[in-house]
Amino acid sequence: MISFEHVTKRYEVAERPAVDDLTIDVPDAMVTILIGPSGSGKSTTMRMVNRLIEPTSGVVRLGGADVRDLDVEDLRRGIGYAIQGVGLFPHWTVHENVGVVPWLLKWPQPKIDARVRDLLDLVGLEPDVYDGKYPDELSGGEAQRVGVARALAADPPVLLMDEPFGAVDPLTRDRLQAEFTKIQQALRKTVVFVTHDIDEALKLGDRIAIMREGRLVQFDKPECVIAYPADDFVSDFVGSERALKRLSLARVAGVASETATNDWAASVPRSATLREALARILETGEREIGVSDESGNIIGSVGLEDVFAHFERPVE
Amino acid sequence: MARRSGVHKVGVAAGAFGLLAACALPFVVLRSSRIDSGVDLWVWQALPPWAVVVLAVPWLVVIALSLRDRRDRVFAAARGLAASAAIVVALGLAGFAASHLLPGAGTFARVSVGGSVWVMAFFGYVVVLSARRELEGAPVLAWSISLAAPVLIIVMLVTGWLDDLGVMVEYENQKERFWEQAAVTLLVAASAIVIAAFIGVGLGLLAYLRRRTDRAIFTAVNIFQTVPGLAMIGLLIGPLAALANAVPELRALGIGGLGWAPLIIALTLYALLPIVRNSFEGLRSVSPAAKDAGRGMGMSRAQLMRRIELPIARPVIFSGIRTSSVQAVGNSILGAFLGGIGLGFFVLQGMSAQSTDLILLGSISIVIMALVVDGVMRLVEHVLTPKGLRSKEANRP
Ligand SMILES: Nc1ncnc2c1ncn2[C@@H]1O[C@H](COP(=O)(O)OP(=O)(O)OP(=O)(O)O)[C@@H](O)[C@H]1O
Ligand SMILES: [Mg+2]
Repeated sequence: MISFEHVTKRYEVAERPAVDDLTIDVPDAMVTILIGPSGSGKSTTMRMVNRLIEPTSGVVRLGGADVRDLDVEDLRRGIGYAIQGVGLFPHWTVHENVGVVPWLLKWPQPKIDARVRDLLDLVGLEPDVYDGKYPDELSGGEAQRVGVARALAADPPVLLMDEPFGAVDPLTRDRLQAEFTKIQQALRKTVVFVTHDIDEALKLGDRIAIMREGRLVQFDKPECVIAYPADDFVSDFVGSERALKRLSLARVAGVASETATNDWAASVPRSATLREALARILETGEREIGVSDESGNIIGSVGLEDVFAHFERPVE
Repeated sequence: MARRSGVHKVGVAAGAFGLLAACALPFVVLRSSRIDSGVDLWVWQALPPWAVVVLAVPWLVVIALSLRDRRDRVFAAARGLAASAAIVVALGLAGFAASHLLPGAGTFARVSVGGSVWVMAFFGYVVVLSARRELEGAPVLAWSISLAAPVLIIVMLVTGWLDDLGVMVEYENQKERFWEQAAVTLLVAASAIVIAAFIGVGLGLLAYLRRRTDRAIFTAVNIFQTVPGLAMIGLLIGPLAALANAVPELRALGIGGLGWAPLIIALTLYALLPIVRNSFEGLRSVSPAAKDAGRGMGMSRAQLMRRIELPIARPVIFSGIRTSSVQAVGNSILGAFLGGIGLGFFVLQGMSAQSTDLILLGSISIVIMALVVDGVMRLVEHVLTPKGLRSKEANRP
């Protein structure tokens, strides 16, 4: 749906381009993470999609059309936009903030009202409580939820999110990420998501684009980025504990083996990650533990051998 | 203002100065005629002993309430009320003294308010202001404290308690003229502010939207601000007189070197700086994130300005207009030098008649008008502030 073809952006003052000959096809209905160190051109790349920035050369396409051929306001109203600073309008209530794009699209008021309530529900904010609040009455986490709800308001097929969970404590961020995953599983939007937190990228991304000094260094599935980093820069960026990170991308369900006995000293749910299973194994001192389904019945087992086997299997 | 120290410094200091002023400066001046230089009468000469005690009591209360600096609204309110009482009592007793001194002093005798009353009123006002600031979270209390003295003074004026003071005698002599001139002052100041608001907000917008222009705009507007009042008038008289000579139609409209035209122009030029500055700063204070979000979600430039930037900047812009309005009313005294336009008329009259009471009538009523305008505009400002921005209101100058 979104594609960049040899896109370069050069700011007047800078000696090197902020984005340098970027070519990338953003897959539909997936979360594509743009990640890289500060100044690597992530925001610039993202903002060229909704034409907040115009490329110096190259073409950005949306649904096949050059974005420069689309009416700029229509284009923007059709794309959800959430940013790190959240940028809620301080003189508007939560309701008015969330309803801004539908309002720009001239939806009838009752439809906007109903939509806003649904969205507040969706992002986990009780509509009756939050509807009439002003941004300065919200905590950082609540404000970011409102920011996400606002981006989703007109049900756009494409979402641009620039560090939307940047300014909150780790616990709140975990919760927001979990909710985002849930929402995305239901809505299946095409999401471009900027972050510089590798754990967030691995957790949320279907694809990860790693950028450095305006250039695309690697564009891959999270598993492949960890297993086969393109160069030293990427492996540095992914950081130490690559093995553990790889384990946290695999679910127990995928590696568990059939078992005859139900008699295990410990067990993990099948939705757990391999990393969690390994932790459980180490904590209990068992070489193998049970795997349970949603209702707690043992359906298999997972052991140290499975963990090793997982590493030997190639990542595709 | 240090709150942690043992005493409430403002309260104690203002209380002490109030008492000192009562003793060290003349309470009233008795003149045999309106232009006589007169004899100074001190408190104990002008008032019977019981009245001297009554005069001192509110000040002692202010000091007593300030010996401990409690962060307590009740204490702040009580201090403000006592200070209001001090102002009212001082003025009231001056009126009382006048009523008792006049009968024995001859037909043309006048009693003017002396320095001690003014200084007491000043320090009383200082205490009221500081109490008001401490009552920030309690608007009803804050407003009652600020209005206590004005309301009581109005009551004294209406009931005739102050009628024997020289200022009031002058007022009584020219009652109709007074209200006429007051109306002219308001009209002139209001015209200047309306013109300055249009030009000023326009220039502020221009400076904000076209960044290259801001330097030139602020330099120009700053220059007006630095020209002293009389010099400004002097500079305007010549060109306007020449213009009126050249175009008789303008003269027929009343435009000329003297009169309301140069006064309105001068007041307008002075009013520009606060309005331009606040418009510019108010717009610049809109968070970049909010502007980016607005643009990114598909607002047009005009929608962004009308729905986001201007509403967020509006309280700041209006506070600039308020500052300018108060200044414009104050500066309207320049009308004295333009043939006596507005309340400056009495200042002009007083100067030629060498009557301090007349000068006072003109100047004190301008001060009062400025205070009233400030109060009314603050109220409007509060109403105009969008709800989500009200928590920041207290931080605005
Ligand atoms: N408006 C601008 N004018 C000039 N240079 C700019 C402008 N915006 C960004 N740049 C430069 O372009 C480069 C890329 O900036 P960009 O904002 O895309 O980085 P980023 O990857 O989003 O970084 P961060 O993680 O800090 O947000 C940086 O070197 C930055 O200094
Ligand atoms: Mg960025």
